[in-house]
Parts: sequence; structure tokens; C-alpha cells
Amino acid sequence: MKPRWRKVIHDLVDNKARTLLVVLSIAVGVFSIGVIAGAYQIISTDMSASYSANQPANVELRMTNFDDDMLGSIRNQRGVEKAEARRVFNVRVRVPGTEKWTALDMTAFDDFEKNSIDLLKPIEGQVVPKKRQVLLEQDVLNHIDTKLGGILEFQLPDGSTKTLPVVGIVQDTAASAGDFLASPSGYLTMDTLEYLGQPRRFNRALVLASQGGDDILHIRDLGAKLKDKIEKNGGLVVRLRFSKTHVHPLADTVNAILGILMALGILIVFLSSSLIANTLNALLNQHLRYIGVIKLVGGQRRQVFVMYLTLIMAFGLLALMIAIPLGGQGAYGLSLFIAGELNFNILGYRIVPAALVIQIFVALLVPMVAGLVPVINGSRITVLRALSGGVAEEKKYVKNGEERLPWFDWIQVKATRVLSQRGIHIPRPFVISLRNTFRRKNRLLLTLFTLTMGGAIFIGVMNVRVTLHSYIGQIGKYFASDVSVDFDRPYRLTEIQQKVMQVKGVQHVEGWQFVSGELLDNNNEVLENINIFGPPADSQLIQPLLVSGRWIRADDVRKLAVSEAALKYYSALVPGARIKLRIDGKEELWEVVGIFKFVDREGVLAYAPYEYVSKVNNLVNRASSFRLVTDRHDRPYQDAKAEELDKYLRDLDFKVRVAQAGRATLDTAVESLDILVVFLLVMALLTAIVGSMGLTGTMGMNVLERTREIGIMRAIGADDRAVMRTVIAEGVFIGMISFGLAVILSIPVTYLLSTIVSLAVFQTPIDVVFTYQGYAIWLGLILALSAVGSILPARNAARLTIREVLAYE
Amino acid sequence: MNVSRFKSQGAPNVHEMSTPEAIIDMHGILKTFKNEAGEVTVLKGIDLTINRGEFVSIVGKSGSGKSTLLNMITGIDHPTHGRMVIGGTDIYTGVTESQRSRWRGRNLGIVFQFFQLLPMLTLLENVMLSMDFAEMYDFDERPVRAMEMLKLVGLEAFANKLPVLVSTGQQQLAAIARALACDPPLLVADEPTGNLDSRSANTIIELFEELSRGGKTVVMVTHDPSLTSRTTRNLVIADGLIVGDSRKTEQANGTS
Repeated sequence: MKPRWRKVIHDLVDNKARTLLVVLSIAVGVFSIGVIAGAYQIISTDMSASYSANQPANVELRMTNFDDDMLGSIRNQRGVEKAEARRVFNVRVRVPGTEKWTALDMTAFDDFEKNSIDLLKPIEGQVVPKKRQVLLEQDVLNHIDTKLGGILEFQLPDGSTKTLPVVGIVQDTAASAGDFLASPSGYLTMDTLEYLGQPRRFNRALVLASQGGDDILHIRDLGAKLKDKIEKNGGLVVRLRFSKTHVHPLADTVNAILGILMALGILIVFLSSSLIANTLNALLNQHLRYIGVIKLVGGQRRQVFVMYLTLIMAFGLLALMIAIPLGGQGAYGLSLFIAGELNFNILGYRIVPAALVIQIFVALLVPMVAGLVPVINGSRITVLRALSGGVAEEKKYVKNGEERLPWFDWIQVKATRVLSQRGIHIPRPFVISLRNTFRRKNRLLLTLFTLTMGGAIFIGVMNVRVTLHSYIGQIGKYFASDVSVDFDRPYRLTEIQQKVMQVKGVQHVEGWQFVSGELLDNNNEVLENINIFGPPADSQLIQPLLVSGRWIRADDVRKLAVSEAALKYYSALVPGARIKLRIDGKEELWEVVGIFKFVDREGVLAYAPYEYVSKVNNLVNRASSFRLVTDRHDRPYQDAKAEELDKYLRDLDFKVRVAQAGRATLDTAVESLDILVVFLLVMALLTAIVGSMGLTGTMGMNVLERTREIGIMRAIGADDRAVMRTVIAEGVFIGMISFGLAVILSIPVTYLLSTIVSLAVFQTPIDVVFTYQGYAIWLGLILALSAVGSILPARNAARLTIREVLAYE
Repeated sequence: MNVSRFKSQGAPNVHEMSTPEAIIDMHGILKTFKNEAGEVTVLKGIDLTINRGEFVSIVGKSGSGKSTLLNMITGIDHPTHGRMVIGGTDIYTGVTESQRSRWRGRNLGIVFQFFQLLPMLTLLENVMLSMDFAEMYDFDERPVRAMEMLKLVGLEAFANKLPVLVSTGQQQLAAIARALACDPPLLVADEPTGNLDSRSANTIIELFEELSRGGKTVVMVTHDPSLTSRTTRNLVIADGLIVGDSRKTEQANGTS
């Protein structure tokens, strides 16, 4: 082997700590980008593939009770490939002998074996339940402490209970697709319905389009035609849902989130590249004498250039050896986690070729680019300069015949002197730390860049978290009740009010009504579903986030406040405009009085006064849904009151469907958002790790270059603690500067992240909220990271003996 | 004074000096370096006593062991065998490197050939730094004391300059001011004039003579034979052994 290649190997092996630092700094970036790119590819392929493999319905019709004749009529509609009917009802379930009830959406199948839409995938046990047996969706096991072979107790509408054995666990990929807030599901046969007090009738039709399964307009059109037909035949469609065959309903959201993670991954690569540039700069500085010797014995510039480029390539290859397997595993793990959360399946572990190519590209090219300038500078150096030592001397220049310091050094000296004249003496060891900080300005800038970006993203993510929670909190103001009680049939307002106000702690009760319909265009084509809530106009339970116009009033007739989602269909919609709705099969013009913010996942939401909606429903002074306010508003109290009210009203023979805590839905939404925030935080922490690695590297290089000065300090009386304090103080000072910069940079980062995330999750930009938490945590973290990052170099510094320093001379 | 300074740092090794005048007692100091080529014994069992107020020069050829001997006195390196007692303290037995640094700051002033001022501190700050490390004098007293030391060496006008902006001679004077800052009884100098012009060198030696007359002990390694005539005692070292030790009489010293 040629001596110069031996030297490259020596450079790799001799200073293992430095090699490890460079390799790890490359590997962190390559790992992150590998995880995100791999997960992006796996999820975008598998999410929709898994979803479509289970034959999702294109149109789901939620209807009042119907029978086989109606199903036949649906099947006969042109454009319908297949149609199946189910009965879906909500029921409370618990493990016998326990207290906690959980709401389940039970789906009754006519024939499990002939099921060909929204297929169930067997996980464990039977696939087809017999009479008086139940299958559970796997998600149920997260909510109820049961298993295959367990017994569940079901609460019937009359308050009595029945038990059923769990004979199988299945996966239903369509069950909660597109709806974070759906209840977990159970499955049984139509033969079991009567046992649970349900009529043997269908209330849901699932339709597969014969063509155009991925054309949403075609699907909507088919849905509208089916609704028309059903209603002409005497049925009533309460709600329609549309899904494409090959696109998971949450694909856009997940891809948007992965896009953000990808952007952060790319940023980490950039950050690690600045770390690489720093380290290679220091390495080349240390090697200047060797380069001088190489050139002295006839080495050419090109040969030096190729030698050090090969060294960089070797760093990249070593980083790849770490990052490829870890990145592959990470991508699979992340995909599995997301798949688990969103209830779809991954097609198995695999190396994603695109991710692999990106990793190789990043691992080899980024260090090359980062190291190019130092390597070119190093290879260009003259023999004389190289042999006279690479470490820069203190700089000075001559002006008007007088030697002067560079302006920044002059300011530092001047500032200390001015402070001293005012009686403020800074201890000299601390002055050393302060002034050392600015001695290698390029290195400092690169280190600050990594730490500042890490901090800004961390703080930004914390702000985004609070922003999302705040928005959810604001959305919660549309449902500010402590307990909501839904009945299977309407009751007189006064009757329910009279009863529930007798329950201790209940302070206020309101009856709400609902009406659903469709938004129509000028040609009476269906644009979207609309759900109109009918709270009392003076409801205490709604604090709307109005974008424009006003809120509803009691005397409003055919007037509504509509959510921003309507702007997707009427871009020029302003208060005062009229929109065409179809309600109960009749087209009507309603006036929009206000537009408000909301989360629109399923159709458009609107509010009209109870006073009018009750007339539309022909249920004046009655309601089947009641919202209560209690004297306390915490979740455990709400749960307890819901339980108490449920029992109390059932004992009074009211047909209670469900009574639940007002915060239940919100808490579920917050949990879903927290998963997203956890991902963002992981990425932010990765950037922080890269930053602290950068700081460790910088401090290590600084210590190495200041060996002589540390020796002097020891010679004049500095003990271990004094030396370590000086080094650590410098690291912490750099950390503090980066904190100041991160605070400033976190503002645009917060706005950017909030906008991207809110558009992905809520389809609307939301008001940004800043929290001191992110700043406080990052301050603590950066202090800890910079102290920890400096401890190793500081320990090395303290271990230096003065003899080594003299040897250095 | 020295004993109490060291004791206050928790070092236990207090020893009687061989004579009341002695400040340095070396007993059988042996130093061996190991490297890939084998073992090299640089100091071969040196016994030496240096008294308070002496101005001692150590001369010898390159590689004779004079700098190693100086490193033994300053506590910069440690002997392979033997005992070194300075100011009543055994500085190598049961003492960590860190404790020795602390002791050095309070008891020794060191002057290096290459001055070794910290480049990021002004001359005044460099002088104050040793007091900071040794925690000598009150915090507010240190700038005053440092300025006194700079006046002593004639550098008060340059107090707020960084080392890079003053001449090499001035840097060495500032290094001496730093060495004196904590008022140590012992000053050790390794080739202090080796990098200076003859005028600057003369200023430095005059300063050492004055300090010696004032009661400080000065031990100086030098290559320059002309300087030995100005010291009160001259040690010649060759192959790790002291081969010459000459003292000047009071009279001779006075007439020199």
C-alpha cells in the first residue's frame, strides 16, 4: 500500500474520538433522513394499499331503519357495483364486575361470509361470530381490559344488561379511517340484535361504485342519486360519507405531516454538515505541518486534495454503515407506529431503495461539500506556511503607524476596561472564557447555527403544541357542556330540565336539535353534506370564533352561521349571501349570517337557532340531545356526573342512548394531536443532539488548540476546577448566545410550523400561541447540553500536564 | 508562610528543612523517561539545597537535564525517585497535580523563555489572573496590586494592552510581574532572556538581582555563560548530575 493511503488509514484510526465525532455527526443526519424518507415511502404506499385491500365503501348512507327491499333498490341503482347493509348502533359495554363503561359502535352483519365491502381482517379467534357472540376491533383492547374468550356486559336501552362472549379479534381498516374521534367497534350477527334490544332492521348501507372509485365527484353524484332514490321510496338518509377506493381518507394529512418531518430531516443534514465542516477545518489545521512535509518531499496539490477527500469519503462510508441499518429499522418502526395509530397495515419490513439512495447521496456528498473549502485551502497552502504552524496567531494590523487590534477584539478589551473603571470587575478566568468564545469566529458561527436552529425548532414545536391545544380548546367552546345526554327519542325540554336540575351539581341544561342536509350548487348538484346544530340562540355553551358576520339570533328564520369549510365550495361567500340547501328532500335558500372557524373533517358544519330548527324538525319545545353544565368542570367529575345522570335517567325510564363527559371528545382529539407533537419533538431533539455534538466538537477543538494556554494557567496556579470552569463557562456562554438567537428565530419558525401543521390537520390557519414552557425547557436543556458538551473537553484540559505543554513548545 | 499556604489547601506533607536557611531541599532526585527506544535517565540522583535569598543560575549543555531539574522544582514534572521539599513541604508525596498547581500559584513564580502570557488578556489582566487562581488578596485589591507589579517592571503605560501589541522584552517583563503578583518567596525562570535582545535581557537580570537582594530566591536556567557572573551561585549540570557548584563570597559579589 502506498504510504499516502497508509496515512489516510492512520488518520482514521489514530484519533478515534475525532473519527467517532465526525462519523456520528454524519450518521445522525443520514439516519434522520433515512428514517423519514423510508417511512414516507412505506406509509404513502402501504396506507392506501392496506386501505383499498379491504374494499372500502365509496358511499356510506346513514339512514333510518330499512329492510331488504330498500337494499335491493340501492343495488339496482345504475353505477352501483355492490351494496351491503348493516345495522350500526352505539352501546355501552363493560367487563362484568367492573365499574367503567365504554361506548362501542356495534355493527350487525347480515352474512359475515358473504361480506365483500369494508372487509374485516382476522387477527385472532373466529372470523364469523355465531348467535350471541361478538367480534371486537383490535382497538377495543386499548379501551377495555378484555381478550379473546372474555365476556362483555352490554347495557340495553332499557337499562338492563346482557352478556356476550368475545370470540374473535379483527381489524377493520375502515372503522376509524378519517375520523380520529370515532368510538371503537364490535361486530355481531343480525340474529343477536334482538338479544340486545335492537330491531332486526338495517340503518346503514355501504355502496361500491362500479367505476370511478377514485373520482370524488362521481362518487358524490352517485351518493346524491342514491339519496334521492331512497327518499322517494320513503326512506330517510341522515348522512352521507364518501371515500375513494385507493386513497386513505387521512393520506393527505399524513403526507403533509411526513413532509414537515422530511423538512426537519433535511435541516438536520444541514446542521450536521456544519459540524462536519468545523471538524474538518480543525483537522486540516492540525495537519498543516504534515501537509507541509508531504509537499516538501514532492507531494502535489492534487495528491493532497485526493488524500483528504478520500479521508472524508471514508468518514461518510463509516457513517453509512451505522445509518443504513438503523435508518431502515427506524423507518419501519415509525411506519409501524403510524400504522398502529391509524389502523392500517404495513406490508412488511423492507429496505426502501429510494431512501437508501438518498442516504448514500447525503452521506457521501454532504461531507464532501462541507469539507471542500477546508480541503482546498489545506491543499493550496505553501510549504513555508504549513511548516511554520497552522494555528492562527493573534491578529493585529497597523494603522497610522500604530499597531491595532481588530475591531471586535478592541471592543471586548474596551468593554472590560470601561466596566472596570466603573468598579465592575469581571473575574479574569471568566474574561478568558468570554474572549475565547470569539477567537474562532467561523467555528463559532457554525456552532451557533446548529444550536440556534435546534433551539428555534424545539421552541417552535412547543409553541405549536400549545397552539394546537389552544385551538382545540377554542373548538371546545362550541361544546362547553360538562355532560351531554342523548336519548333515543325526543323529550319535552321542561320535563328533562325539571329532572336533571334535581341532580346535585347540575346548574344549567339546554336542549339541542340537529338537522342535516346537503349543500347544492346552482344546478342542484350536491357539493357537500351539511350538519346544522340547533342550540338555543342565547346558549351559554357556545363561544364561536367568528371570522365574519354575526352569531345566530332567536328570530332568525332560514338563517345560519356556517363554518369556514363552506368557503371551499363558495369562495366568495360573505355574510348576507344565500346558499342553497336540500333538507328533507326539499331545496331551500338559507341566508348566511356569519362565518366561523371550526375543524371540518366530515362535511360542513353550521348553526341555526333551536327556535327555528325545532320547527323544521316539527319538535317544538322538545329535544333528544341535552347539554348540561355542572358546578365543576374537571374530567373525573364530568365522568362521574355522566355516570350518575345515566343511571338516574334510566331509573326514571328515560330512553338514554349515551351520557358522556363534555371533555371526552376533546381529550381524544388532544391525544391524537399529541402523537403528532411527539414526532415533531423527536425531530427537534435530534437537532438539539446534533447541536450539542457540534458544541462538544467545537470545545474539543478549542481545547486542543489552546493546550499551551491551559498549561500556562496550570503553571500559574489554576487547579483542575479552575481549568474546567473556564472551558465549561465558554461552552455555556456559547449555549446562552445560541439561546438568545433561538428565541428570536423561534418566532418565524413557530408561525411557519403552525401554519403548515394547522393546514394539514385542520385545513385552516390558526392563531399562534406562544408559551414560556418551550423557552424555559430549552434554556434548561441548552444549559445542560452545553455544560455536558463541554465537560469532556474540560476534563481533557484539566488532565493536561504542564510538561506536555512544554513539549508542545 | 509557605507551609501555612500549602496546609490551607489540605496537603499533609510538612517537613523540616535541612537548615533554617534552606528553601529547596532535593534528596536523591532521579528522573527516568520511558519511550519506545527504551529508558533514558535524565537526572541521576541529585542532592541539592538552595537557601533563601540566593540567586542561582543553572547551566549545562542541551540535554544535560537542567530544564528537567527546573521542572522538578516547579512541580511541573515529578521525579521517578527521591524527595523534593520546598518551603517545608514535600510537593510530590500524596499530592495531586491539581493540588500542586494550586500550591504553585501561591508559592512559586515562574518565568518562561517564551513569556507565556495569555493572548486574550491584557497585561494587567494577565497579572491579576494568577491572584485570581491562587485566591490571593481581596478581589478589589487585585487590580491595585497588579498595577504595582507592572509599575515595578516599568509597564504601567501598557497595562491595558494585549500582549500582541507590546514588544517581546515588555512581554517578558509582564511575565515577571505576573510571577511576582502573589508575592512568592521563590522565583523560577527557564531561559528568561533566551528570546530577548541584550538590552532587554540586561533589564530582566537587573530586576532579578534586585529581587534577590530583597530576599526572594531566584533560580534561573540559562545557556548564556555571561549571566552566571551576575548570580550568587552557579550550578553546572552534565549528564544528569551536578558537576559544579560555586558560590560567590559576599565581597566578590559586592564588587562584581
